Amino acid sequence: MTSADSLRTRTPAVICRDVRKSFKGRSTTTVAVDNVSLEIPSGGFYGVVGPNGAGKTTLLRAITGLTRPDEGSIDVSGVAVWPNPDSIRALMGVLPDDLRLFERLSGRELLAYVGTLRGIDTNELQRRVDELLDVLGFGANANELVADYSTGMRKKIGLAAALIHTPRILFLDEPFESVDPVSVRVLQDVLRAYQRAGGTVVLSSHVMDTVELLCQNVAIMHSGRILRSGPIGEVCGNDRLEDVFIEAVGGRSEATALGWFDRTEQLV
Amino acid sequence: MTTFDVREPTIGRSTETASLASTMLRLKLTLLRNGIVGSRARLIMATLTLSASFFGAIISAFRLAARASDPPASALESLTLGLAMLFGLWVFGPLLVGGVDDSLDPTRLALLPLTRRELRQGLLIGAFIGPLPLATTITLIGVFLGFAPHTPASALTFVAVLVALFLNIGMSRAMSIVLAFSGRSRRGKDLAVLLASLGAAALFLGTQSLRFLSDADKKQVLHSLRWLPPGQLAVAISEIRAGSFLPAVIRIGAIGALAIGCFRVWLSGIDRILIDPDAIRHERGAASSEVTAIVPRFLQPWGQRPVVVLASKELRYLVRSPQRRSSLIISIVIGTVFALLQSLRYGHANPSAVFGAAVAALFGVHATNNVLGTDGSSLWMEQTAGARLRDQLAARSVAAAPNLVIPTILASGVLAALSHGWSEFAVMTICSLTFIGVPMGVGVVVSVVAPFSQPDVGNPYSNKRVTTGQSGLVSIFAVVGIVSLMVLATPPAAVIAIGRFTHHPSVMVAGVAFSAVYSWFIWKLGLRFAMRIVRGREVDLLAQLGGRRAVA
Repeated sequence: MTSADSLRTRTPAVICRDVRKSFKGRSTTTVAVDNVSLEIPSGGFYGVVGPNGAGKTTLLRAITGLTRPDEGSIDVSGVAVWPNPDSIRALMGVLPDDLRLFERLSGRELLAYVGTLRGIDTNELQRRVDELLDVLGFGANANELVADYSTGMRKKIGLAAALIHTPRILFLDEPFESVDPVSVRVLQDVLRAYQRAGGTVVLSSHVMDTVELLCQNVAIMHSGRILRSGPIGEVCGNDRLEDVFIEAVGGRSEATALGWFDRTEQLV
Repeated sequence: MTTFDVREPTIGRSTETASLASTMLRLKLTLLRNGIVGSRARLIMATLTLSASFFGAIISAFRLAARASDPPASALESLTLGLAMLFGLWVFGPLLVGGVDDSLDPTRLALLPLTRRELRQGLLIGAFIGPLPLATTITLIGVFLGFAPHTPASALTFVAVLVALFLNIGMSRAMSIVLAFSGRSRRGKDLAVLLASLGAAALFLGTQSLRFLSDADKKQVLHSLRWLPPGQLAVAISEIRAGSFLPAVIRIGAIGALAIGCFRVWLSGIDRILIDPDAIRHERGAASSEVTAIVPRFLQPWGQRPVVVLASKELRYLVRSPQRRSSLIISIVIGTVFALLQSLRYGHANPSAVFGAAVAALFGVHATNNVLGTDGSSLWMEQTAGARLRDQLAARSVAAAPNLVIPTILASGVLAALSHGWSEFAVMTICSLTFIGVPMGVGVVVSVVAPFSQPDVGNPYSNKRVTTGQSGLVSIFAVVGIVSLMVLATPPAAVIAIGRFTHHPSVMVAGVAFSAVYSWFIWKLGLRFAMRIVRGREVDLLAQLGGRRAVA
């Protein structure tokens, strides 16, 4: 059995039980995650899809120890995340949606910084930084400040920072949003290589085609709840994920109401 | 469902200037309203600002009009000062607010179906609408009513006043377009922030220095102001009153041409900003590709412990981040100048005046009192990398220390030069380093009790959270922090003072040693106390600083 196989047969990567998180506004309380129970198997890609405001980001933040849930329990690789999220830091890599990085460090400095904080041996860190920068195609940009990076480069350097310590599980919130197709391909290749080595990738995305292409398992989330989850073949059957998703969240088309578009020709 | 009639757009190619003006007026009022609604604190702030500018303008108008009856020389001085202040407000205003005005942003208006001419007209009209143009107009009406002669020549005064209005707005717009260009590159933005910080510090220095000027010096300053464009208009208005029309017309014509030139710069800049692609000049980080370079050489003896690595990054930020740079500049300039002005006021002949340099540090405590809030939104990276909050607090308070140490040493150096108190300077330099643990210890506690998020954005003066009402609470804790700092600093300061005034160097040396141990202890105590305060809610604190709602 290879090390990758042994990782896949381990305990589930993530187990959420009755996780709930709400936010109080001035006059209303928004339930972002509403009694979510979820089991994410080890190895492979797991996609969490849902419309804007479905609670995907809050759920991922709760799993990664960045937002405290009100109720419920979360285990990552068999270790309870709460009340002490520090216990699972070494196991995971995180790429949040609102990618707030240390803008005034160069890409190379950022990786060195995160790697040093992770306690990686200097020689090993040097090798990993050089290789990651090379594989992700940074070239001369590696010594430029992150503040000057494009969205795609920011995602790539964020992914590199999340991977530098070879985590067991990688959590990616909207990793392909606002990224050009070339960078998407690079990101996907790196993620596939990571997954082949036994890693688990949990990602949220609006891009159904990408989720369908990459993920073996999927959860459809809406209004803080998991509507459907499981192997993608079971969730989708013979339909496309996008159709299943729209049907599940109750999407509808209002295009028929825009009859006055007919007059467009008169303007020419 | 809302429908849009695309055949009759609100702003279209056939739009008359009058309707364009009313559209711009409505746009400006809507933006103003949207900036106010949503928070009671914002509403109060906006009401206060608008009321202050409106009533301030009326008072200025009356005061300037009343000064017209003074002797001609005195009236000219008042008018010069009034117009120069108005001009300064217009010119430096965009720097302080980062040149932001949505209604005057050509890239936003360019999305509307406007011809180039209409776009220019719209932007021109927009420039004349708003609270500041209104306040300026009210003030200038006061100038006209007070200074215009009761003859047909008043028409000339009217033109001069009109030119003053155009000059202010034109110069301000030209300034904003230069800023807009600078804002297209991060380096340019950083430069604008640096200039704003230096401008604010210079303004403080200027206003504080006025009290030390003799009447003759003040007259000289006012005389110099006459050579500025608004000063020339003041001279022209005085000349019209005196019946000397030709030189007045020449001056008004020259300044009018300058105003037109400013508008041309602005309008041609608009064309360029809409056509030219962004040209971002990228800045490079450290040249070394060695990962060990993340820790500077002078910190490498301490190894690569997390607190050392965290402090290394913070110190790097002190140089690279415009927010930290502007904070450091403000601390250094204002702190040093304040200490010097106080010594000028209370005497600096005695070498003991060097110890007064300690007040310079008070302007840097804002940095030590909010160590987590500065760029707090990126703390998640360190958090997920396993950094402990205690280490983050310690490292960030170390990086904030230059805000206290540098102004104190600078001020004591200048005071030593004035009072020949070089031995006191040596003591003060050592003390500024040995005392540093006290403000750092108080600062880490204030930082967790009242953190104030200050994202690392291009313009640190445009923090949207300033208007959330949180800043008031933070200010209260800051004052409590400063009082605690003064109380806690008393014991070692007393020992050093006893040594100094009893001329016992050994007591003074003992006092310095005591202050080092004592302040180290206070810092450690502050860290422990801060961690006790946040125990169990570290995640919530960092989520709050990251802009995420943390408390359910």
